[in-house]
Amino acid sequence: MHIPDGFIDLDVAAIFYVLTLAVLGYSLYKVRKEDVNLSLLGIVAAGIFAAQMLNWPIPGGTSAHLVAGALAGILLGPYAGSLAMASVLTIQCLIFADGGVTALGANIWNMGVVDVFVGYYIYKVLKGKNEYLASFIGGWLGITMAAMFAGVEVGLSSSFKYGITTTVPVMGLWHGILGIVEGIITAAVVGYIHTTRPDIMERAGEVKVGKITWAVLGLLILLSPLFAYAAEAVGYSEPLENVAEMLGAEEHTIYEGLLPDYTVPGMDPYIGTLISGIVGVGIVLLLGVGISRVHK
Amino acid sequence: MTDLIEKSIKEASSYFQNFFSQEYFREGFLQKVDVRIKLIGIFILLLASISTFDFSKTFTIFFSALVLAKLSNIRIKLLLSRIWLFTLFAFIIVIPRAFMGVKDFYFLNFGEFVYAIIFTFRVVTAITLLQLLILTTPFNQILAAFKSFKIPQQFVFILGLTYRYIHLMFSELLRILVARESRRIKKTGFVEVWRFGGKSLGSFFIRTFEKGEKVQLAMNARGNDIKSYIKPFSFTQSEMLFTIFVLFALTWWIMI
Repeated sequence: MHIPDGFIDLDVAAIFYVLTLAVLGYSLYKVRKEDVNLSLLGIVAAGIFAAQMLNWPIPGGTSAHLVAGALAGILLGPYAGSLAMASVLTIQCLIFADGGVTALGANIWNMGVVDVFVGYYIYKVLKGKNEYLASFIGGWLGITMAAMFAGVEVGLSSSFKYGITTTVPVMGLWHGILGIVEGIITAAVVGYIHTTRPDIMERAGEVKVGKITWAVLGLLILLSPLFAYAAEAVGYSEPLENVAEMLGAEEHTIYEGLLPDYTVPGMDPYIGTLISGIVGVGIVLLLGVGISRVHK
Repeated sequence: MTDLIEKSIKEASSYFQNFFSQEYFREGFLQKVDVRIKLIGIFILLLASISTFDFSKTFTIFFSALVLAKLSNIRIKLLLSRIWLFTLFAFIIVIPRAFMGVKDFYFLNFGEFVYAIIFTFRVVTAITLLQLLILTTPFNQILAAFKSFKIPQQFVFILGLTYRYIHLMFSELLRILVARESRRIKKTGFVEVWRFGGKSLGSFFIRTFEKGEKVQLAMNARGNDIKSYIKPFSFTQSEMLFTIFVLFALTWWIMI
């Protein structure tokens, strides 16, 4: 997910440098104020770097890497976690050329800010229900959101000719699948530490999730049908369908599925899409619960 | 579990070669330039390389990078070995565009094909410049430059510590994985690998926390206040020649 130099425009790069520096500046302020152990931060960052080197085998003969942004947030808290990830990503850029110098701000934003903060707050919101499920969803959604931000950055750049309607779904879908591995490993690590050394996890418990967080999450869920309606209103269509149209390819359906094209056969399309969405969310939640049971 | 260890060791060994090439870099022109001037100069050239789609302008910067590599005794073969993967990655991503839309050259959209070539060339030029910096500059010098640029010393301290402990933490992680693997008595599936790997990683992070606390205590005992020495800046012949070189390349880039 490391964006190299040349993939994003300089103005996009500058915007994400500013955003990243603002978050890291505030994180440094918080770390100083709370007198956080800086050696611990540096060494946990080295540990994250080492953990990223592991190749996790996945079915099909390929393998996946851990990014560990959500894990850093859960173990160190969001502010210290973002600094640890920024350290890892800066070293990867300046020693291994993994990620570009101009894209460093964007890369830290994706993996050191979005992944860390999304992962941490989802964990905080859900940990009361189930520790494993909370860390699984935190790890999975953190990396998926980070990938979608990477899609936004390259999609907004004129130097990269694929539009945002292609880059965001491709990055989101791909990392949504690979992110399951990230979620499982995050859940396994957090679960193990929670059982063995709960005192380490106590630090993360200091930042409270207030009613506003719950309200924002609830509002987003309630507004989701509106996004579907807005997409229809602006004439949004699937990027792959656009490509097929450009190439003159014709569709030959092999199997329509239970909910063809996110609709329920014989039902109003909007209500059908809403039901499909609820079914999809339910499946993901059940999968999360199932995986968390396996880890127990 | 064996797969997890084997693949990780293979990847790590190729990855860590970068450390060794850094530690044993040769003497040459760029190696003598003050790291502060070098960082600024290379960053300017890098910006010039990716802010245009004009092939001749990008080639100007690429050629300048090759001249700098030659003057700094960096073998082209070594440089190529470090950029080919990024080149391939960039090309594979953009080449499908050459097969989209109007096909005006047999089965190709020639305009998009040219775009794919130039896009890849920009990425190659930028990565070549970044590799020049990496191959001629020890990381400790980059950290010193960061301090000169007024980057907060707490962050520079975290960077320095991360860099110093990467080897140690990776060997610690491998020791844990090998110890667990040596006690395995049957073949394991993916779920088992993830479950045991996750537990091993959990155990590893507990050790990481313990090590972090010990290091901090040891530093406190020594009275360490994380401040360090920064070499005074001096503008000698090497810095002057490098500045002239960058300005010349930039003028050429603007004029053509």
